[in-house]
Amino acid sequence: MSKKYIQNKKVIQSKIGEEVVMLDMDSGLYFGLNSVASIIWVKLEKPISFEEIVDQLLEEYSIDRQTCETDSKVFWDQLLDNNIIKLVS
Amino acid sequence: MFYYWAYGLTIQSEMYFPELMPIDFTEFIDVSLSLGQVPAHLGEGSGSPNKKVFIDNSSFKLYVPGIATYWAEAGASIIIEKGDEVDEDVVRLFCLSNIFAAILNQRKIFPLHAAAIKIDNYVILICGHSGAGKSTLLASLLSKGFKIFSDDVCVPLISSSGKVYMQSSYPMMKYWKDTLEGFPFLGKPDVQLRPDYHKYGIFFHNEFETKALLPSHVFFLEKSSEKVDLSLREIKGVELFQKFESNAYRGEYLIGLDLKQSHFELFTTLANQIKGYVVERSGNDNTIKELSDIVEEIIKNKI
Repeated sequence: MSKKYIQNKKVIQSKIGEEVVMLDMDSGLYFGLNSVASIIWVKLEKPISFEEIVDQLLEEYSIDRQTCETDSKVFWDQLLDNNIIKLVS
Repeated sequence: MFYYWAYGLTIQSEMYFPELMPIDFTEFIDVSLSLGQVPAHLGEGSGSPNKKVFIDNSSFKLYVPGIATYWAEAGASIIIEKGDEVDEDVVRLFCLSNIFAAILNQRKIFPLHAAAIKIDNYVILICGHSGAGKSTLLASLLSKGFKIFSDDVCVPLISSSGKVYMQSSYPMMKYWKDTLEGFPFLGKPDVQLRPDYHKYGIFFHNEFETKALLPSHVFFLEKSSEKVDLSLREIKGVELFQKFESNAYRGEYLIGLDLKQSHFELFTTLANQIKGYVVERSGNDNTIKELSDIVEEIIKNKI
């Protein structure tokens, strides 16, 4: 089974219109999420794997798998690199 | 003893401040200001030969050689130790900016670096780094009959309903000599801010508003990167948040996560309730007139 991830709780967040801004309490850095990234971010409130997110997005939006995976992967890597999601043990 | 309202706080002062808004005697004092000796137990501080600063969790000490030593403590008291025969205008100038900023910081209040005008019961914020044309735009809008709210600092107040209101700072506008000459209706200045400095103060006690008002629009003034004389676009969401963040009033000595978190809460709330615009303009002063016409149009249509 693929690894599940969840929002790292040391982040405080706020919605502005369709977008989300986050403050990483450890680094003091801000992150802004556009509307698509915000949708992925909301899904990470509960433990979920990358593959499950892609599957859900394909069901909810008319988009081809290739584009969906590529775009989501870019955002996913940023989340991981900046430590704002964590592996659920 | 003098009593004033400034930056949303009531002040009891042993020193006369013509720049501040006088109020009747009150028992509810937020900050008391006295003249006396700054205790020696505070560290000497560090900085340049012209200015030394000592800062810890509850204390802020500023030493300006030949002018004064200032001590702001726990957001509630200020002591000023003046030099002999110093220019009191200059003594007050440091107090009005640096020392009140420290007091607000100690009270976990983080002011916004913005000029503001008022229309009905709303305020319109004008942000921009120095040199962006804030005070010229302000003067141009005042010449159209808009009323001044604050010269360059607004103090946010989050209401119980979760909305951000703005309070003014004190009733003085600061203008460079050139701007004053370009807008004769502003009249003669009341004070020269520093003897060696062509910047002047104009009082507006008669129009001063101590009530907190809702901000409806914000305009961020920027130097245009291309050869455009003037452009204006509406911004929303994350971009609006970022503009507030990059125009935040940091003071020179504000640090720490407290500030980050407060800014975060303040700017996300503001970004949700206000209409934001980025204005890019060239250095050309003629664009100010055109800009003030556009701003007037936007404000009048949307309130």
